[in-house]
Amino acid sequence: MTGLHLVTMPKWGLSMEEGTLVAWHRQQGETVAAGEDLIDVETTKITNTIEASASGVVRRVLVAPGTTAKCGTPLAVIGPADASDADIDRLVAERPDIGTQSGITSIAAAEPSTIDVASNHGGTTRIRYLDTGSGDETIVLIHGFGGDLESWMFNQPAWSRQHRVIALDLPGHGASGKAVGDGSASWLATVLGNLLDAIAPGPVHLVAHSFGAIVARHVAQADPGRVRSFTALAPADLGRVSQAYIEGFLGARRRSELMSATAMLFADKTLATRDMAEALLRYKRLDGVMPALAAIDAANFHVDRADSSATAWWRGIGASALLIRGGQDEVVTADEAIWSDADTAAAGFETLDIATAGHMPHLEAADTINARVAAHVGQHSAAAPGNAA
Amino acid sequence: MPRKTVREAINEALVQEMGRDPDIVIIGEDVAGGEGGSSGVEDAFGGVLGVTKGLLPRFGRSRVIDTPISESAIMGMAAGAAVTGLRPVAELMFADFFGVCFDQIYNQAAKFRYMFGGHARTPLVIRSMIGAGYSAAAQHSQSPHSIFTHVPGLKVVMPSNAYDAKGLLIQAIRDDDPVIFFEHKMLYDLADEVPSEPYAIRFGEANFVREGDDVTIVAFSRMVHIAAQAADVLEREGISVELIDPRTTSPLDEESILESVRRTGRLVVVDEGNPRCGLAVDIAALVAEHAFHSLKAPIRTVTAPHTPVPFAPSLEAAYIPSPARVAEVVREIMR
Amino acid sequence: MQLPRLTMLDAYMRMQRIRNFEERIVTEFSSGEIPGFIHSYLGQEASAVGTCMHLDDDDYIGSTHRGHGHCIAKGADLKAMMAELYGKRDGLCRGKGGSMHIADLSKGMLGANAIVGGSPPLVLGAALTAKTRRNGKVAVAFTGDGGSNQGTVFEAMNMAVVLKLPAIFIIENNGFGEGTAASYACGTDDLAARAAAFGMPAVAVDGTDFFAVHDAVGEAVALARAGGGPSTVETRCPRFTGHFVGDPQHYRANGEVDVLRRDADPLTLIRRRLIDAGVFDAEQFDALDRDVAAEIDEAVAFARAAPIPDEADLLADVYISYR
Repeated sequence: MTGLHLVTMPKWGLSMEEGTLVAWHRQQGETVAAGEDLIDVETTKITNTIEASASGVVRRVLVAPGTTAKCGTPLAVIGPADASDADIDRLVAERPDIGTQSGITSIAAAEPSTIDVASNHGGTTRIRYLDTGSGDETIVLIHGFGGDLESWMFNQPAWSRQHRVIALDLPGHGASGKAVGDGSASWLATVLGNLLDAIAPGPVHLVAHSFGAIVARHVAQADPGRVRSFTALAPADLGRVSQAYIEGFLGARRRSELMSATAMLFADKTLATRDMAEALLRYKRLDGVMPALAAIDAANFHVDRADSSATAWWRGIGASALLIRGGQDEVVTADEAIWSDADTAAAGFETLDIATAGHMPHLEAADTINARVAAHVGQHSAAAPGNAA
Repeated sequence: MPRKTVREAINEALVQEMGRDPDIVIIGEDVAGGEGGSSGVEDAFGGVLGVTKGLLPRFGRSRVIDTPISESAIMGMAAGAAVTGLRPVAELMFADFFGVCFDQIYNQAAKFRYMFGGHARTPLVIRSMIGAGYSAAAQHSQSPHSIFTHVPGLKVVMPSNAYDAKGLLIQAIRDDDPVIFFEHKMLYDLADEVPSEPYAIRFGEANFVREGDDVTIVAFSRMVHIAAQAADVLEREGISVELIDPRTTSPLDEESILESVRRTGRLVVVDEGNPRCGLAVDIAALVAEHAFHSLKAPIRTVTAPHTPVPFAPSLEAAYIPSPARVAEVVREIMR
Repeated sequence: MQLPRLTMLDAYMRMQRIRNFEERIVTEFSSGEIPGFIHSYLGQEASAVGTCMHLDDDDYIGSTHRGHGHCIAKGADLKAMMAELYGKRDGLCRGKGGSMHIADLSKGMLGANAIVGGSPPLVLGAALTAKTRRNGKVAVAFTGDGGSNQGTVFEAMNMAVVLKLPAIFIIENNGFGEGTAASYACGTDDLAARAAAFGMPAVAVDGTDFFAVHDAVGEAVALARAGGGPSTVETRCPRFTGHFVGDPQHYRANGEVDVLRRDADPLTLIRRRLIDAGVFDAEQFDALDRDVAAEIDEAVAFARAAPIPDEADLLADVYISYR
């Protein structure tokens, strides 16, 4: 073939229809290596960087900074220095389907599903989930307090290339039902377990963020055989949850107030955009959301001491667990009284500390996380040495 | 997320709230239509512009009540039903018709709570169409929201888009005070992302449609879109516009307006109402009283002229504040 | 007069309370302690009581600017009423409504109404609530000969018929709208016939005769409770006083009111009827009258002693919550 790669506007998340080019990291004619930053793109929710999908010369830049382009629009062509202009023209004219050659695999075609699963008290709870990719291994993504399945928009596409990946909205969140029982992680974990029984009954890899990691732990505690590996990003049970964040998030009524809270999520404060805040305000206005969040807050975030059941579990989990933390996390902060570095060292699970990230490393350092979690899942897959059935 | 028009968003709010609360009844002229007609077709109108279509088959005649053309009786019946325990959503088809029924709104419903010493609760919503643009002329095109805003005891809502329309109407229905809900007839087909779940937008909380540094524009209802078009033009000229849609005129989010003007130092208010004693001068006075020392230029208003709404399309176009007029006024105070 | 003895006793007491209350107001108003202005119900007592004897606390009435009689007939507390007229904090409306807006929602009294013809549309709403809830309750709209000329009343009557609401219209024809005679201002002297033209049962009765009012309204209420829709009763009951307390009534011939007080006094009529029928004797009535007079004394004392509203009350209760 010609060795040419077309870079197109990716689709990050369900609602993204277009993105605006903010800056090029390489100019036309410059060389780029696969994985290096190529283009900064701003969406209505967040700004992210498209990496080069291949090594080569940036043969053609198709869109100028400041331009807004629909998802799938060709943005650049990377290829050998000696490829002919005619081949490049042909490639651009063909506009191949997005998802095969763009910098980040798109999940444009995927639409979330909903399912009614049994909840704790005889009723049912509607759960929305996004099921992408396929493979022998299944990764289940569990967002944090106030989040939803789109929290994983930079990660799910990457992992979906090799695995089945299910991102879900916890009860009380996103487009799932808003009943959360007593708001306890175990209540939510029961619903989550019932969901997995219905759509992914075999062993899975849990990847969970913040409060979601507490829910995930309860899933693992209830049924250890269900969990092949466990990745926790900024888990809320191994640190102190910032009351300033929780109160700011729950109390904010105006967008500007909410942005003060969401800025705490990121090391790079510019990531807390007005559109992200607007989307969260709209979520908070939905019937049932504020009572649900209040119940979860009351049941989970007002503990001063370590939860002994949590710390004992963490001490025993071993190398199938991966702990990822941002060095500038302002929402879940280290507290020696709950969990110390010595505890981590003694426990024997894997760790990844990202000094430049805040509470949302999967958004702020998506590529690093994507690679490391993929490796972790690989190590603990059924086919991995020592794991074969 | 599903896109819905303003018409669909309002209809969805009514359907969801009526499903939630059996005390909610719809009262108005041709809200269903067809009653007594020779065709036997029910729900023949569903509101004169189709906003209440489908409510009758779903909720029945006892909750979707077609009335004679008797606006005083409609408004009075809705007010009396509200004060005795129902939660009526009454329709005043065109806001222009308030002239034949205003007593029931401003002397009765608006004052029950105060003049009865706090003992009354009047959870009444009056939906009504405002606005020019259809060549409907002087008696079907007015925007009399300032007159309602003037009345203590009434709350006044003016949504500019489908998302706000649904959330504000649900809030209006759940509110225990009388609420006037003005729908601009030129906005019904405007589509927007609207959650399928019910949600309520609190009154008195402005939407910052866009943020900017040079000038604050305050606009309501359809004028938000006029102002946004002007802001697009101005942005290309290097003038950064902050556009505020307060969403409700009563209560008014004074804090957001003042906070913005203290930053930008300039205020333009765009209003489709007539200029004298109107909403535009009300907001101008607010800023003059409380943020005078932040002002870098005179406050300006862009409103309809002090005339009735004309019929001829050319005259009507000149009557309605235009993006060009808004942009020119902003340029004048930027010089 | 097949009414139970206790019912007749109750009716007489209510009428006498209205009579005493209104006469006392005339006296006290001249002392300057009662602010604003007052419209007296003297001479019309049988109309309010003959109607309200059929109603419970959760049936509704809407009243007029001449509303004290309706309020008392519906069972409102005399002390709180009097305090309201004095503009006191312990008044029915915490001193913020006064005579023309006096209301007691707990008794189904939706308010006096200072807008002539204001109440009938509102009463439709109370009737709609009853119809929607299918609870057999009714709503009564009082209006006058003056109000009967308002378009709101026509609209309400037609709407009540169209929607078959459990509403009853009482047109109290007291002969005058302010200072202009009904014989001039109404295009017909048969106001009930107007109502009938909207398609509902309508009768005119002697509004000074408690029994006549009671019988006619009884039929109307029974029809409404049974789902039969609205009715109208015109009660002809000339007022003893002017439009407002202090009105010199230059529009009335000398002696007209004296004749009315002699020949058409509802209290005299009911008393004579009950004595003639042997239900009560004069001594019993005198004892009852003393009891009522004592109640009114207490009400006046209560109102005088009650505190004026707090300054903060000025801003309270415009909204339940303003946001």
